[in-house]
Amino acid sequence: MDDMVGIAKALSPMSAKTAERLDRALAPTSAFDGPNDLAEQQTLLATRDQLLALA
Amino acid sequence: MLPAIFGLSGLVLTDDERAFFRDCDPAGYILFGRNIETRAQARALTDELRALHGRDRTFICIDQEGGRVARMKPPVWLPYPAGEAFDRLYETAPASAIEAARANAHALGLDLAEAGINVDCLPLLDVRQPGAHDVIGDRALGTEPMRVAALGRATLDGLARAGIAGVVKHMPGHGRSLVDSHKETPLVTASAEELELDLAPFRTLRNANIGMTGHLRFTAWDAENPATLSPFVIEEVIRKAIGFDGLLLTDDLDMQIAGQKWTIWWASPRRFRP
Repeated sequence: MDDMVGIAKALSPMSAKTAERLDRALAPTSAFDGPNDLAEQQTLLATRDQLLALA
Repeated sequence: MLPAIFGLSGLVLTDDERAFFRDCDPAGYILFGRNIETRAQARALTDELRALHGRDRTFICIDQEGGRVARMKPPVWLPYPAGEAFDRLYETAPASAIEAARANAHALGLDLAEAGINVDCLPLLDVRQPGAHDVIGDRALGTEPMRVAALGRATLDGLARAGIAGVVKHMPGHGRSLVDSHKETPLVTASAEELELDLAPFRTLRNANIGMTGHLRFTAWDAENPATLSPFVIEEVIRKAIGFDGLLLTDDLDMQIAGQKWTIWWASPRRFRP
């Protein structure tokens, strides 16, 4: 906590350029509001495992 | 907003953390193993972090690579392979390796999204070099730059399909480290010409939205300062030579970079470049 407080005191506010980069970075993200679709995940993992077995 | 990403002490926010974070309004948070126990707990924690700021999107990241770097562990979460598995398949079946990397990252991303995490510090674009320390080792996507870039792009695509932003790391390349950068700052003595190989995958994926610097010194560019704290490496190598114009994060400042001559107190006011 002491480190974080020290950093917060030392840093300047975020620049407009950095804020624009942060917005751009987060624009495509989403927070899924519920449990995973297990069927979808299992299908993806089965595909991965079948392909990795080719090595 | 403060250009900093902070960590948390435990499974729930303390009163001090809650008040501090609300007051200083950091750009985001990083979760570690100490912050993750169950699916419900992880989601409740990230929900509270989002609620603190009331933004549409709050940067909440984690190091969930697969292999030995996984903060979300079995039996609650699934295990995922390290990058080397996809490199091995690429040797005989490149298209299949790319598809496998994409499917793997998509599945992994679904776990993160469910937990309310929207940024994963993956993929590694470090080109693994023979004889280098295992700090990168099997985490790497290969020894050949274009293979690393191809598998890295597939990983970014897979994460994006789950609504997760990936982070290309560790700029400008961690594949030549001869020591564990968690314990001391590696010194890379390769020439600028030789380091073109390390830059290649980052240059190929220069349009990525988020990147991370590594705590290595490069005699070819700036023998005094690790890349994270080097204005030359940041401006001339990462921004200009690579052409990266995305959000640039540092690797963890709690690593030994903070324990040697570059203390966290020295780094923050003088060199942390928003």
